[in-house]
Amino acid sequence: MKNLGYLFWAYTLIWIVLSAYLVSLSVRLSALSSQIRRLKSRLPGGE
Amino acid sequence: MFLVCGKDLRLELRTRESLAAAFFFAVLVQLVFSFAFQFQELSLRFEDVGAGLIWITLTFSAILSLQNSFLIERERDCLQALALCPADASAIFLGKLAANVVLILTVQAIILPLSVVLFGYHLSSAVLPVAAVVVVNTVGFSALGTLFAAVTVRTRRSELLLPLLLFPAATPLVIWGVKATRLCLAERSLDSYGYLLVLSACFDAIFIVAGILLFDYILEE
Amino acid sequence: MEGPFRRLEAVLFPVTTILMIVCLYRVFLVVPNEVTMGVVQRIFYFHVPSAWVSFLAFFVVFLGSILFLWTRKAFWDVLAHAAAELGVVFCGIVLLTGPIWARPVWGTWWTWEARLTTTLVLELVYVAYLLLRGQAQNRAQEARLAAILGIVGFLDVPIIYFSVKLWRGHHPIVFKTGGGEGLAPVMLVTFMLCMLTFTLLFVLLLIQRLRLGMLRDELAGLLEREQLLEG
Repeated sequence: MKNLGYLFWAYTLIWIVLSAYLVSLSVRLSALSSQIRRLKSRLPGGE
Repeated sequence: MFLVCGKDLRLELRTRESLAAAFFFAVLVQLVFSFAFQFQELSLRFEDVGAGLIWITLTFSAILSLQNSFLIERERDCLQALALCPADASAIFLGKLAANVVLILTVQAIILPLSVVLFGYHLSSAVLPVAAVVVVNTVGFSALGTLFAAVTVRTRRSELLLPLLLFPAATPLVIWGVKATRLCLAERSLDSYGYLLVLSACFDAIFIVAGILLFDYILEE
Repeated sequence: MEGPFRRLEAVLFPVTTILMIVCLYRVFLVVPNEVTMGVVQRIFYFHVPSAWVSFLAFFVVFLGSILFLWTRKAFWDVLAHAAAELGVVFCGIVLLTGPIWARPVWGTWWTWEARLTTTLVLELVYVAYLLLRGQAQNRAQEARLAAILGIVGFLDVPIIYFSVKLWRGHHPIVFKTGGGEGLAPVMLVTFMLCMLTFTLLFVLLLIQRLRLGMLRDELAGLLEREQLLEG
């Protein structure tokens, strides 16, 4: 089958982009969460 | 509205800053264009590439004028004053818009004859149609430009953001403008390019209305 | 932000995952080869849903912007921001997979016809939207200016599409990607399944990104409190 290479690259790129975004999201989420936790423990008074 | 417009224009007349910048930039573009396209060697005619030249010149020099339109207010911290003044926000928008249109057209009025001379084109009956095309599309370009200039003026990197926002958003105007100009230069009849003028006019109307409605929100602090 | 969103997430995550596996199975193993384009045509099953999702996302930006200016509730602004980011990602996928599909089929990576040019312009407008948000001086200004851009940008899109259409004439495409016509039933089913999967994926990712946005605001609030207490 000719052009199989193109097909492969198209789907691979889609997965790379989506995974990269998911990773970026989770990294940002955990960074923010830990920052918030630290701040909350430092600040007096409840929420 | 007339007050704002008049004020901007008077300021410009006194400093001539942005006019000069836009004008010299436009001349430079002409120069680069002539090197880039080697008119003599390739026996190119103005009709072939003139439309592109006119519009490249216009869009890039217009950006310079537009960037300046709110710069003065920012530098003198007048933006808040503008927001607090009792005039209707839409009047401010229209005033700024009018001033920008006048400035850009002034530059074009000098540059267009200049390019005609530099590139050896016989004007004849193309003058009015080309002028009409330029005016209609400049109004639209200025409407979007004034809107985006106001939005970006208070951000950091505003000089970068304005072209970044304006060029993609203004592509219909450039497309229609170039096509219409090319038809005019080739001296086609009104039927062939008339619809492009109408389209540009609709575009202008939509974004002038959008500007009027949204300017309040842009000015608040 | 929890409650309903958590429940939705709990349902969506397994459903989307299963659907995605089914889609991939169908795209690679079930669906027949398309007559003129051969194997490469299978890109279409992810390319078109990505385009649909990006338009959906930009529409959400538009709605969020209007609702924010109208109600001034931060939620709408966070939603608009989230949707814009997703729109840029999916539009990027469209712009990457399109040329890969085009090269073997049309012989060229790119052409300046209506759909491609509009997609490129769209991507540029929303990248500029995200940049604008990054360069604002404060949160309130960011929300307000972004909302303006969200509205104006979306208005421009159909106009851009028509302008390019008039400029360049018609799409030199053999296979009609606009709708389901000319598709064999098995292909149509797979296609619709992919559309559904991508839509659900969009909602799932939107919820995640929304959470991120809310946390960001919460952090800003906490930082402010800290400064007040110290100052």
